Amino acid sequence: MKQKTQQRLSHAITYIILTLVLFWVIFPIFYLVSASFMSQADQRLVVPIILPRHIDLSGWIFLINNLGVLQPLENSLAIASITTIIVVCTTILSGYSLARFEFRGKSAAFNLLLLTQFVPSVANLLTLYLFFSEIHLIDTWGALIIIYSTGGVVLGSLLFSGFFNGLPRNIEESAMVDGTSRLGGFLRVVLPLARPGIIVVAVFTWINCWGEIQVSTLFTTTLAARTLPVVLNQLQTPYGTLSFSAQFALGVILAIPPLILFLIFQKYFKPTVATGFKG
Amino acid sequence: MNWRGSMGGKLPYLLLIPAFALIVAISLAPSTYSIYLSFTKYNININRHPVWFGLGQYIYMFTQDGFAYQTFAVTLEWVAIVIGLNYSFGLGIAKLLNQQGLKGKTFFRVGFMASFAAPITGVWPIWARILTPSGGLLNTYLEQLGLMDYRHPITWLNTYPLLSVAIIGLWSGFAFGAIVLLAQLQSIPREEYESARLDAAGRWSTFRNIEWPHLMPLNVVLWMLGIISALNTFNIIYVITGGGPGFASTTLYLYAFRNLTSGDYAYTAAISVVLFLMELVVAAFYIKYVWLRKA
Repeated sequence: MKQKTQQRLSHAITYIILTLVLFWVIFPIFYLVSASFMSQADQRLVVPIILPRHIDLSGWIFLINNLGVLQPLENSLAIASITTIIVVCTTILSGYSLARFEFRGKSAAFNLLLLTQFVPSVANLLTLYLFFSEIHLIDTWGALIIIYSTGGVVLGSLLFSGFFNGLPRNIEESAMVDGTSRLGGFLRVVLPLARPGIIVVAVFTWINCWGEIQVSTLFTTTLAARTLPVVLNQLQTPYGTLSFSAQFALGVILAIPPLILFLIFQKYFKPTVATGFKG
Repeated sequence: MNWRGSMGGKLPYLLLIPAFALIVAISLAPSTYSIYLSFTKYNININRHPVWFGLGQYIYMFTQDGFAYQTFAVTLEWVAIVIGLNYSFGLGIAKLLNQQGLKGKTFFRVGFMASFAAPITGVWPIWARILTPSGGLLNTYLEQLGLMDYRHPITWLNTYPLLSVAIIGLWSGFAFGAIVLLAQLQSIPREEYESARLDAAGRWSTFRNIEWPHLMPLNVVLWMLGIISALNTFNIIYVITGGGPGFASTTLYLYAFRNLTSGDYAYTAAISVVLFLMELVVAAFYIKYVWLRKA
């Protein structure tokens, strides 16, 4: 009896702490959305408010009319999506190969994947920057897509090989006994089963590209290929406090799509899958 | 069915080609060239092509460049703060969620992932707003609670740049560690707890003697990945303080980036080689640990 009361008390305290932490997690995102609908006057109050006194769209209108975000929005969407397609197509093959075959050089391939994680990206970007300047690839989607794909390929190969390792072999084997070739077995049997793996790799890749700022800062000088995070980062200087709401509105555009993707697909993200992720 | 039958076949290699061609061409080869650049003199403001300089860049870094020392110290401090905060907080949350009979675990687990999914490069303006010295939410509440005098507002990003950024980093990253640690805790067989209970072991001794040994292999992975990613941190520091004020939150990584944008390519390369060596040391410790466990 005493133990029961004790457990109830400890659960109550736990709920209070967890709720506070959840509040801390959600509040900034909520505040970001709410502050994007504030008027200039609301933004400048000495004692800040959390909800706008009335819904004011001037920040959003200013963002869309005056800050030229439509081109960067298109860039961000296209670059993240093309990269995702490239990464899924290449790593479903490499991951399958690493998981299902024994071949010479297999452990070397794994070590190479791990080694790339220990190389600071800036070392890599330095040479690429010099090279891409030489061949006039600065300010193109191609530059960003190539670099993002390479980063995604490392993560994707590890995730897919982990995924295929967890997939029982006998399904493919029975397909092959039925006379299907190995490639036919891959296409007809494995591909449909790989759906959860494809979703995880695609969502991770897309979210990583969508929020990326370093490569986009280095490899773009105009809006032609610049992505949204860089635009947001450079908003602060020329416009100053004029556009607090516009800044928040752009923040909302950046923050919401990954949240929606994650919520839709969250059941696929199991902790075992996550350990392949580079923090 | 013999899976090793295809050992000599070309198929496994063919499947690897697209992915590994990208890795070799866009990651491995450029990084190798950067190692070469670190032994040259190559500053776009002075010379248009790299000139052999031997160990000159490294000698300059270790003997003359005061900023290199400062950024090295900032880097160590940053790694310590990040690992300490993220690991202990993540473990705390995992322990709370792991209580037997607790309802709503999934709800909290999914909820906590929100800040992990939202990119910091989009959310940072609201953090900058919350931390604004005058008229920011945090200082306003501190003042209302009587913890701060409004005439002397705390300038969070100027006075405590690393700590402020680290706490925002905790917000955006803790969920990962917490959820992985929770999964590991949940994999501990119930019988082990039962026998501890029969021995009348307290909470602390249960943690030390049963849970901690089970967590250890994962801890090592988390610490290693954490150190590597802290050494390579760019996004969050760049968008929130930009490395400032002065060099107060400039880690080696940001220092390399700063040199890259200012055109001193050889020095950028030298700094990144030093970073790479630091990461290899971490990796060596990790490999040694894994090897010792297997032996």
